[in-house]
Amino acid sequence: MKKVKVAVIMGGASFERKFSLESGKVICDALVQEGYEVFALDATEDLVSSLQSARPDVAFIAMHGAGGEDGTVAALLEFLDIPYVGSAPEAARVSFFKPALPFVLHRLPQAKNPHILCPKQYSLDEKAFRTLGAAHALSLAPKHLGGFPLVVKPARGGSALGFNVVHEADKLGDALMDALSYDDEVLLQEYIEGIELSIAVLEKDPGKPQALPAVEIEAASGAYNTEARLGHAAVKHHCPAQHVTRDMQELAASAALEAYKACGCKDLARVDMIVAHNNIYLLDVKVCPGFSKTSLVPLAIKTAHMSIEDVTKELVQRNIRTT
Amino acid sequence: MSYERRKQLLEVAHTYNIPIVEDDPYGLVRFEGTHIASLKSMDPNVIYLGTVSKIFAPGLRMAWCVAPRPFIERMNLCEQGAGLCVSAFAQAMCEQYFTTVDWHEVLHHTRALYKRRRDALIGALEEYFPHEASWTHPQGGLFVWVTLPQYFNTEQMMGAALAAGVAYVPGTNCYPNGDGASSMRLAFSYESEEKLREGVKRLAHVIEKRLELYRAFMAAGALSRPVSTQPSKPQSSAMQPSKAQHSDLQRGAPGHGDSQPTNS
Repeated sequence: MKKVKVAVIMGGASFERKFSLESGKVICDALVQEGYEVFALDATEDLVSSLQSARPDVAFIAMHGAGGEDGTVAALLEFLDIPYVGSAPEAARVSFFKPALPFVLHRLPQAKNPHILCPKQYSLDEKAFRTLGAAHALSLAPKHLGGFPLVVKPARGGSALGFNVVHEADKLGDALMDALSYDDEVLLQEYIEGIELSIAVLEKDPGKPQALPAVEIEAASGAYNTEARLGHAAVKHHCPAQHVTRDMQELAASAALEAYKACGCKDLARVDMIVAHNNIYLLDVKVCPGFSKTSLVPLAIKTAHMSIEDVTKELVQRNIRTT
Repeated sequence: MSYERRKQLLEVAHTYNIPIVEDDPYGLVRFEGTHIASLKSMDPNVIYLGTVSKIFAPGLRMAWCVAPRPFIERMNLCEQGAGLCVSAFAQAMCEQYFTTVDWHEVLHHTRALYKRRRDALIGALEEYFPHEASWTHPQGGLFVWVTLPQYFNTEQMMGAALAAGVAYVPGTNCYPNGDGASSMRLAFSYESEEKLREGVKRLAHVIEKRLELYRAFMAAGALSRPVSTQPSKPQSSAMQPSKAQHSDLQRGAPGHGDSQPTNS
């Protein structure tokens, strides 16, 4: 019987390239294990010719950051008429732009739960600082955002690149310079002290997404930054979450599903949030979450008594065209 | 390092009985100025390191050491313990190359090429870089060391530079103690003169944007780094020719071969 051909698209030129290559390898290995004919394709200028030559039955987007999570590759695959695992371009664009989350979330009619919130935040383009004098208004940031500490991060991108918790006014510029190293727009966000949860949402059956067990992140430094994500800094992952009540875990799961639906995601996404004051504060929706050894989704999959092989196979199968 | 400083270094090392390791990958890649005697030629006790990386092929990972016999014997033991021996295939390639190819002639052409590329890079720096920047004028080697205002962080700028399609080595990578944050190392060995100019032009644009941000944050008192005493200049003059300064050279910039200050 002819093997199903799967192109796993990874790498690219984003800041998160190395993380994507790690994720891509795990996905490739799992699909090979399941008997698929797998093509590992780096998202370079040869991607289209590689896809046309490989003629895959389905593509699996394993890219993080710009190029992949912003919907670029999904849009290209639609243009090439290749079915793919992952969210549609429009959903990816909305999810990738962090400032949009509160906006899309509260447009949903079902988003009425007063305990599902987003941190207060402001996004500013670098032009506002360079050409409009926004730096002189920075003292407003702690006033609007509940004082220090506050969070500064790029408006787009992941892996905590350019993420900083700022404790003093004279460190704001440094943090903004760091964030503006990864994007032209920066997010100033209220710092919510609480328990950080990450919930994977898996949609094995179309229209029926399910939340996997929550992963609780306990970073020794207090911040789940790039070092912690790479396993270079002390961080504990608890799955299922250990320090969150059952009620709050249920609320967190419904918040994750709500965010997934609000952004229009498909197949799989990871929703990051903070649990504090009996509320859920949604932070981020990742349409292409990490699959590496230190990533959170594989841990949730394992806790749900599934395997990466099962999940990747199911996602591939549901996207293969039968006609 | 000038001949006089080399002599002083040897005197100090002799006085305090400090062994000297002369790591000399770029000695044969001087394309300007006069030859300066190696430390090894001035003192037989110096441990001299050479490599084929810069004169033949870096991928071979082949090098040589000239040192007093007791040191060589211990080093040999360590090398055998670490990796048994250098690849026989790589050794054979080197032997063939240096015995059958007129490598002096090849090197002659390579030096001329590097000089043209250095000139292209420095010409572009003078044309495009803001006047707050200073840089070395190397007489050999493969790199130019650029220093920006003290508050600038070249490691932070890396992301924006990569997004613009330009890469460099942040200065902190060249210091053991985290110094060099406002500096960067630019290589001129590989890319064509045209691409070097384009790279510098793009990098200048990134730098200028970031300088504007730094100035804005400094003016608002939102930066913890020291405020530069150097005057800033209007955005419109970013592409005007600028003069190189040589404060970095006087301090001694690491890892970029022989250099001398530009005539500013």
